[in-house]
Amino acid sequence: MSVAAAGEVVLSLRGLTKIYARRASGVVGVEDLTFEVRRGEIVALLGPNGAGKTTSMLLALGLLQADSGQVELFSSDPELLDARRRVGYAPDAPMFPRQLTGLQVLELHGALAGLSRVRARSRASELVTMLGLADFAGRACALYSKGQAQRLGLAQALIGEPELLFLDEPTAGLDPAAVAALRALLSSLQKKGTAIVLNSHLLSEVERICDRVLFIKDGRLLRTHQMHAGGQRAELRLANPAQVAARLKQVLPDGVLDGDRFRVPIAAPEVMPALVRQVADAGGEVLEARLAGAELEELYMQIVEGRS
Amino acid sequence: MTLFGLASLPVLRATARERGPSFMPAALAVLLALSGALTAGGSQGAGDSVTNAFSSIFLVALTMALGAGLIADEIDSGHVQLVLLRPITRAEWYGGRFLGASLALTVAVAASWLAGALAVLLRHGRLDLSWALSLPLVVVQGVAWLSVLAALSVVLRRWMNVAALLLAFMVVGFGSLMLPLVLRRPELVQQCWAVVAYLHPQDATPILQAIRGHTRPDLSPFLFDLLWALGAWLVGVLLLNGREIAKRRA
Repeated sequence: MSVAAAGEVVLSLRGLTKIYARRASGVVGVEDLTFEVRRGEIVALLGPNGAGKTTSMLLALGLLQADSGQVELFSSDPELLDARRRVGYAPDAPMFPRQLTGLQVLELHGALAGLSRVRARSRASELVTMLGLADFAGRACALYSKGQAQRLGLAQALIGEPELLFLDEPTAGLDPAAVAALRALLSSLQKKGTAIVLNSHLLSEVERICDRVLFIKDGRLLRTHQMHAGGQRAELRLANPAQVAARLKQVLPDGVLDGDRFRVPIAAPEVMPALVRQVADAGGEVLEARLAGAELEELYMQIVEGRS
Repeated sequence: MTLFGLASLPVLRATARERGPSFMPAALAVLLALSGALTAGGSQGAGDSVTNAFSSIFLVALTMALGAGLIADEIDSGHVQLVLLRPITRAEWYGGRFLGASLALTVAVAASWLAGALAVLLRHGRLDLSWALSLPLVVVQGVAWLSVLAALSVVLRRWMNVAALLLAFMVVGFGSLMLPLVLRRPELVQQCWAVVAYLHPQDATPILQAIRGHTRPDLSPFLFDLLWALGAWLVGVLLLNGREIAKRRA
């Protein structure tokens, strides 16, 4: 059982609706959005520009007022100060007071998060080193590039050691080395039990670190997709999914049947032949078997873009 | 870390740091201090170092520079979203911004006041009571204007709060002159001006003049300014509480 499966629900959205405008295909905003995030889970929101991903985050954080529906952070109202103490948010293209230096911004957010002055200072220095901000942390924010501001935004989100972290396009403006460092950082946070809600267009990154993906388009949640838990996954296309669904559930309980696709976590690619035999023995007619490598991109095209 | 639950101290500190050393307020503060030193001890007595007409120009400009976009800048940039995600209330954040700018104003006025005091001591070898009282009178009047600017900044973008205030000033001033003419009752001019005096923070300098003339001072302008400062603060918080902070991204 993964940490995520065992964890308490830290974020719950039920029937959340915020409509800016209606259009033929859906809404501008979000409509009837329902999902949960558990402790230690990394969940990605995927969808085209204007799908409602950022709006979903802002609603979850209580920064936008929903037209209807309910949000709970740690089983309480997001407006409660105690709930907010446990949350971090790094927006897309963050802006900071132009005259303050990066260190001053971090000290401000540390103090606001409830850290003592000394602790805020030491935590700020720690994050400056961890996120490669050292060379420019003493400079005024007005002089920051987009990537530098992005790193500072991430640092301020982490300063209060949040249990639930919202990251909106965290890799935008970052160089490849910084993206790799961010990936390692998110994995280490996950191991400590931090839940992360991520909004990114980098499918390869999402595929590598996320437990679950929510596909959103025109303000609606189209599908939730469970990613592999740590190892790789095999995907088998079946000719007779309906007939063997019950039998497959008994034989391979970790597998998930999604339409005609049966996805199973596997330890290594070498087990593929044995897996195909196992499915065939259970009565499944396997049309195609493959490692789920570029799975997310394909799924994205199918679900969001409507391509087969 | 709040000041009597009214203002967040970290926000107050950060605002004073952010607003004070910016180019325009810093330049105006230096000019105000210079004017304090150069004009102190003139014909009106030692207490006019920060209340004379010359210094008042810099004081008004400094108040406007400190108050321009005081709240709107944070809302427009989106930084307020990050701050309000922390465990502080909107009222505490607003109080921190307002008092941080007020602190920067007070420091600038105090520098001018001290420069004036130094000049007076060098010229006359003594200071009178009116000099000591001029600081709180000027600071409270400036803070009252700053409070109005802060409240306007909740609903107006960037520096439009300053523009709106100047426009309102011109409209009211022009209106109070034109109304008696339109009504063909010139005697109403005095009454119009009397009413207009209550539409904004008042000049408390007459208190100093009364002290110099050894008459009993009328403290109502000072109290009226205090009322403006607190009233506009309350209005600003109410406006902010009713406002949606996040904006839909284009």
